[in-house]
Amino acid sequence: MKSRLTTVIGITALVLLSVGIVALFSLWSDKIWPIDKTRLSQAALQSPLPAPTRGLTPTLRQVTPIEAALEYQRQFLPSKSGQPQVLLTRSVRFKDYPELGLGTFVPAPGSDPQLELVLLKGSFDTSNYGVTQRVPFKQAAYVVVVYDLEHKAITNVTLSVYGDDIKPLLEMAGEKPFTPTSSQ
Amino acid sequence: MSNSATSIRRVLVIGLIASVMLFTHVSTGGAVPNAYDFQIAAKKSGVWKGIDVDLIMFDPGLQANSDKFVAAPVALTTYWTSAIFIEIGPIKTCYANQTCQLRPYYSYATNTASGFSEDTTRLLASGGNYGYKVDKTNVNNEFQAIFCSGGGCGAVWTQNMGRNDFPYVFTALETTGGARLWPPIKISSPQAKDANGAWGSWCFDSINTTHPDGKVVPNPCVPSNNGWELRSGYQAFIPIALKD
Repeated sequence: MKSRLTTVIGITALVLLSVGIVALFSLWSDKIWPIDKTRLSQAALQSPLPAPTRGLTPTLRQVTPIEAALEYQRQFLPSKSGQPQVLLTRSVRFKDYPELGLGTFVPAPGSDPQLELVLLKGSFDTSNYGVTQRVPFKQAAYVVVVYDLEHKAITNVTLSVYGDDIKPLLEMAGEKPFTPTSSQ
Repeated sequence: MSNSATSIRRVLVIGLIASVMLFTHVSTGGAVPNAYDFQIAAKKSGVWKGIDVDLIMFDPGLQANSDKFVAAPVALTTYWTSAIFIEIGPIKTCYANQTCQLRPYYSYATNTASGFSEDTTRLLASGGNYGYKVDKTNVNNEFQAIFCSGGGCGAVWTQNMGRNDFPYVFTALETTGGARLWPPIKISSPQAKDANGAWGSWCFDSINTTHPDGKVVPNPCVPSNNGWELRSGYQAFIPIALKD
């Protein structure tokens, strides 16, 4: 009887030891990680766009121009008035910039990528905005983001405090610029 | 035992995910996400309507997805924490989810608007000598940013700046990445356009740096020099006047 008990305890201990070894092995084995690796990858892919004009590597991240614009705004131009309003989305080319109030840009010879313009309205905090020099205003009512569909990157971000700098775009969206007294 | 191992695995995985998310947040810039960490600037005061320099930027060795940039603006500016400026130069960006790119960029700010553009249609060669110019046009308040390469020069951007001159011409090296030592940028054939519209050689009259550990050791810089270098370093920033 005692011998049988010893044998059972021994076998149980051996089984438990084996289970422990297998558990430890599986813990460090690559075979248990695929699901978790997927989660890590998804977490990495959900990280926000960090700066102006960063390319969105297609194999890593597929976003629409509106998503790219809103993601950029969320990270760098936080809204003081809730969710910004998408006033306008429009397919444009670089040659359209002057008539839209975006200045003039001449691309490299032979390059004429299709662009998507997104116009956002809100109350955007610009107090920390600026890549190499800080902008001289603390708030803007409008953000224009131009997304290069060919190069999968934001190519232009324009801020307007009142909207009078981008009046043609506002007119397309049925908007009128603020007056300084009414907006700030 | 299996449940226990699963729990341990879950804790480890959650910890890893949290670490990755924390790292991602920190590496994407924190409170000031898209501004430089430090800057060394060489500027000259006066009344200026244009600036024109040749500039070489070597590959700063940024790692892909490091979420860093190195830029070298050539600017007309009021030069203050909140500046009115118009600038053009090379920028190397290595942000998350992106391969590194060395491209021309352009930026401006007025009292009521600002713009930043990275030229997605042009790629620069590391160590290439390119020309960057900002120039007043004949139109009131309008300036052009001009990029020159082996293929010639062209006005790339045109912008109404709300003024006809600026108190500083300015060249700088600006980086994210704290104390990293970046290769110097080389500036040669510096020209500036004065209040009368005349172009002439210029040399900086002051050097500033924002690096907390940095110090400035200016060498004599006179217009007869052909240019200078701007160097970033952990303990010193040393502008070097180049000899002809």
